[in-house]
Amino acid sequence: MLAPRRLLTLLLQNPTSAASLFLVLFALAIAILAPFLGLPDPGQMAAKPYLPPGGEHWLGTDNFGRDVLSRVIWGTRVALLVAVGSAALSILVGVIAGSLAGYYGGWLDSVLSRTFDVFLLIPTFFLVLLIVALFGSSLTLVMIAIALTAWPRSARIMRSQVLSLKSRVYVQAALASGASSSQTIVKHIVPNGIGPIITDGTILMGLAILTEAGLSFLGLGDQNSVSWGRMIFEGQRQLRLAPWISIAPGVAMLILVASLNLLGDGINHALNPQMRSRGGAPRRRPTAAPPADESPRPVSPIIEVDNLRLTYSVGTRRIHAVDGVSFTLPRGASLGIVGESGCGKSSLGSALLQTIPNNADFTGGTVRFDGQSILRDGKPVSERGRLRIQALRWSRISTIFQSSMNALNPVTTIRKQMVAAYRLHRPKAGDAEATARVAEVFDLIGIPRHRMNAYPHQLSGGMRQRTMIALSLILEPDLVIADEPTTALDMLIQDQILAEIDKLRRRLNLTLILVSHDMGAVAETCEMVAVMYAGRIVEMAPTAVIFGNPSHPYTRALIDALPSLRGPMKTLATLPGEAFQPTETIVGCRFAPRCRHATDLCRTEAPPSVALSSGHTAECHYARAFAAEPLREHA
Amino acid sequence: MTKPLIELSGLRMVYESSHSFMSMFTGRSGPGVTAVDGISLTVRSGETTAIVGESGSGKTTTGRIATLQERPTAGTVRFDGEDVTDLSGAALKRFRRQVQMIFQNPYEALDPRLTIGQSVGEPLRLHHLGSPGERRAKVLKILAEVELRPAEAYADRYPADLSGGQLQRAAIARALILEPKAVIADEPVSMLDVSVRSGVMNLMRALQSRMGMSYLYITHDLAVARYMANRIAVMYLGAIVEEGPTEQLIAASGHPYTRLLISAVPEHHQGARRRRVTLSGDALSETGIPAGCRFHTRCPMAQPVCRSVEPSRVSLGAGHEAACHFATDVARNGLTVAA
Amino acid sequence: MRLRRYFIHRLLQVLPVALIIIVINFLLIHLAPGDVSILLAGEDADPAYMAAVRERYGLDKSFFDQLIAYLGQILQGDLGISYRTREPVFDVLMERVPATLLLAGTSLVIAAVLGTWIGTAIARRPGSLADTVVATFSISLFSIPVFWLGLMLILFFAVQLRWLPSSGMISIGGPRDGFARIMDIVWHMILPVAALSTVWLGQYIRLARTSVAEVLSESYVTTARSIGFSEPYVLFHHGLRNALLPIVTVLGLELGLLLTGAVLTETVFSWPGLGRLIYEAILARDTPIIMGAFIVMSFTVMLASLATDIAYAALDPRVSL
Repeated sequence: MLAPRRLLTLLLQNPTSAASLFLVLFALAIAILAPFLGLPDPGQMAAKPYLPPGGEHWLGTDNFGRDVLSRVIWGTRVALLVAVGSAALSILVGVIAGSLAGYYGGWLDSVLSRTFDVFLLIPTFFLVLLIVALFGSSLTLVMIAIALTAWPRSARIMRSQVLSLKSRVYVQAALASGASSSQTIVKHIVPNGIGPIITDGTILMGLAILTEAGLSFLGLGDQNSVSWGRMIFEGQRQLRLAPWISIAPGVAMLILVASLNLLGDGINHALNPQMRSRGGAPRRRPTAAPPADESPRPVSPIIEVDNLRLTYSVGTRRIHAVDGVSFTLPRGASLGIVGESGCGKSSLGSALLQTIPNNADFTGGTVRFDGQSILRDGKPVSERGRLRIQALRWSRISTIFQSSMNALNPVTTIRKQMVAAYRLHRPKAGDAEATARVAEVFDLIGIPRHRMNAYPHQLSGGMRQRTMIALSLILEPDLVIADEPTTALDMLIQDQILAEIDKLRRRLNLTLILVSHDMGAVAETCEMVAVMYAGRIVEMAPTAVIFGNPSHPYTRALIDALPSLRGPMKTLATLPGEAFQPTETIVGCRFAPRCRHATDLCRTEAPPSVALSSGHTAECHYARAFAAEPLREHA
Repeated sequence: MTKPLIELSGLRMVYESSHSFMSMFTGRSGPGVTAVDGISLTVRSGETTAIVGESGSGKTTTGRIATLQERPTAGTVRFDGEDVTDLSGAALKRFRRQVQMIFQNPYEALDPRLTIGQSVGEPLRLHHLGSPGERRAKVLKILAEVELRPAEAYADRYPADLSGGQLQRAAIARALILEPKAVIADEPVSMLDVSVRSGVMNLMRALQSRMGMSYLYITHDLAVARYMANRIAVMYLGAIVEEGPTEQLIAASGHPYTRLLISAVPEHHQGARRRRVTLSGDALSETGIPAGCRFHTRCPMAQPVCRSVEPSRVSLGAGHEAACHFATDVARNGLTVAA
Repeated sequence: MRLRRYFIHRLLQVLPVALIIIVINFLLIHLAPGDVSILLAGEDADPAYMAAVRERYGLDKSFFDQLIAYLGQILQGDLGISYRTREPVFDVLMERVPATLLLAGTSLVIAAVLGTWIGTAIARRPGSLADTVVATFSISLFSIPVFWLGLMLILFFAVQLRWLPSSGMISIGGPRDGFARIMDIVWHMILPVAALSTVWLGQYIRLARTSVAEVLSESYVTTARSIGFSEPYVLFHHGLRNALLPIVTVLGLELGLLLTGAVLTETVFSWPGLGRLIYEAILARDTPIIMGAFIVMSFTVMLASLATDIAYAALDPRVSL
């Protein structure tokens, strides 16, 4: 929930929201000030009838000689009264009912939820119509009737808000420390949950205005008030003679209702800024031609990354998620990239495959795959109008994603998805050949063949993860990038999946890049480890060296902070401060603010990459000194 | 040995399947889900007992019952010698002063609309303790204790301004401000980054030695449990399959499941490649608890007897027990896959 | 087999709702000011007819008996007698249903297809200028009072330009059968369909845009892109296919809203459907027709939602039947 002032600022930044807010406020102002505007009495039949707009009567007069402008302005009063009255009433009832249903659950929730459902199934306009037809059509009754049919809308929103808030830790904590249910609802749940209902209130207001107008148009409006619907109702008979009588109130209603709806939409966007930019197709990016001097070398590393940079734009902030990463991997190697959340390890993975989000940009760097440039000076390399990476995707570079529930399309069977992937890259292959290949990889990974006809949701987490591995292997790629492949799984399954990845890599001579936050997972699966901190690889070495003789103080701190099951108990080391995201130009070493050993040199000068032993580099001014000093647990 | 503080005995928790519309008319409801299936556990005063288990093992539910956030279907909760299972009203409120909770997700730990000081001071306000001035002083003192310094500055900030580690420290402060006798901590560090995690764990240990409360520490990570706890209880599908003093349980586990859990923890020391045990069967059963030994569907050494007879707890000495027909064997020889 | 069981199950869930709707109707009649028998029989009914109505609904018995009698009547399809025409309400209503279905159905198909197409197209570029413009435009569309839009269309196309007929479904003295008659009806449909589908179009653009954009941020879309599938394949095979689920749901849920629009449009264009009938009934204070229309509308929406649920279940393998 945003503070009101911040919300207002956000609203005013968006021209549409700002305009609609202005229009709503304007309507409110003239509705309140109507009696003081010196307008002719809206009911007075003083002027000549059927006067067209202009002159003394800006919007003309109607068939009784009443001033249309005055009637439209007085109509605003009625429209807003109905809108505010019925919205307030339905929100009041809705919040109470929704809170009770969501909070107490059980039979109360069953009864109330079913009531909401019944109202969803009733065409509410006809219910309102029936009520008004039976009970008479005073403005108050119209408001009550609208509220009576609209409250379940607020109640449903409130209920789902309460359901999600109820499990929030602060609500649980309040209850656990002795707060009563009513105290918790009033203090924590309603204030935090009411935002979306207020937002929806603007839409409710629009609906109420349209409903009242519809009733009036059917001749069921309040006979004593000047409502827009009634004006159109009366004006339609004079449509040929005096169209202005019905045009003006319609335009007024359209403007007010649209403003209310747009305002609601604007508030919604301001509260959930990610909503506006979610999804979408990948943006076209400027491309580069392949370098002229590119000649295939007999033995080239499978992947060479040089000074890769990737920057996210979040609002006005620029986050350098990958801030100059370089490494080279020989064919058949396995590299673990470890780091804490936000260090850029996952961004690095997607940067290699060039599947970066739309708010990310390559800001520099070169990537060569098997000697061929696929990224050159921060631009994807394209050849004859086609990106080079496209020819490599899946057939030579594939990925294993974290098997969240939705890593595979939930509405198609696994076989269909895998067959589609195979045939995309082997257009000549038939369905039977593709299915045979699916069976082959299923055997390889140890999933019973008949499971390929299952839908993703029918598999357990471990099975789904194995399926993701099978999918990544279906085209016999050279390089597999596994991004947190076991994170969502239970310990026993995690261990098994890692063992399988390791086994397959050796068997198929794959090159593996394993991105993980888990030092242990990487330790056993990879030959090399790269430690990332704030967008850079701060240390890279063979696995045994990283864990045996870490030479960057950050790597040391990470290892010393891990509890162990084996060996003597020792107090875990702690790191002061929190990891940071590199948003601006960094002076000196990026780890210096948290480093116990930082000196003035570290705070002013960026450390060089120090080569220590074969394949071991560390970005620290004092790397050599640390390398000479073994880890204390082995001392 | 110190005296028992929390005693859980014979706890069962069965969740009714959701209230469907039809059940309103037919009065029938589907079979329930058994989350906790006969648990007995003792937390001793001033000690830390850890519950280790995978997701779905019932460890969180056990914690929620111990704090009386949920009432068990069967069994009793005793606190400080007194049966508190059915407490309500003022007595329940008194109980809540004694037993506090720390939760997993620090980002949702504090009401986003309240300042850190207001949130941390809320328990004092709820229990009408002290004047506003005294409460403020207490809040500042406890914030300093959890190393949120300068406390004055932190007290007036909002949760959105704090990092995950700082939020969890604030949540710990809120749990400790009433000086409870017991704190139930449900995965308090699993959502934090490694470099921040150890700081919170060390803080919890330091506060315990200073203030003397007991912890019931719930985690999926055996290494974390070893670091934090005097005793460990391993849960699988709603039951405690092994329980014992930390070092003994890890060094000489008597249940194959514990052995598997230990073997699944990767070793990050140089060169130490461990022997992996291949596990039969898939993830936890979602439909129900198997007959016989609840672990037999995945156990690499399951025998015919395991499929039919539910094992009772076998004592392995010095308060170390395992619910396996072959516990003594496993404790002595480790996992031996039967020919 | 599975589908049939599911259907029966859902039908059983819907029945209580039907019951509640009838009870609401009953309560409203009894809570309304004035004599129930006058409401049911009409103000100027002759005493013999009044007595017949009293007998029929058991109006001299207890409240509960009356409810049972009323339920019995309705479940037999007896919605009373219109006191304007003295015909059974059910027959009068059924006579008008085809015209409403024709108008509402055509408009719905146009709005849903066009709206989904525009929404899907725009979902590829969330946050772009085109997206913002279309979003604002679609919100404005469903803020238009439909009856007013109808009037404006009449004013412009029928009164000013004289291109299209302003009211009715057929020309008086026009062709009676064959293709010419169909063309005559189509000719009359253009304006009311334009008014209705314009207002509904906004809903579908918005819905499709949100749903498709949501789906495009799912991880299986990332998977598909990494595999190398082309953007149109991703958009239609993954995006639209999955986004259809929420679109279908809302299609079912908002039917009540759609019928409202149809009624108001029919009134403007004198379209001989249910809406026009309701309008006439209101003018004549023919309460049995209004109540009967409410029940019929409610049942229509209910059945439509049932159909949507089943469509949903057929589209989504995750829904267990």
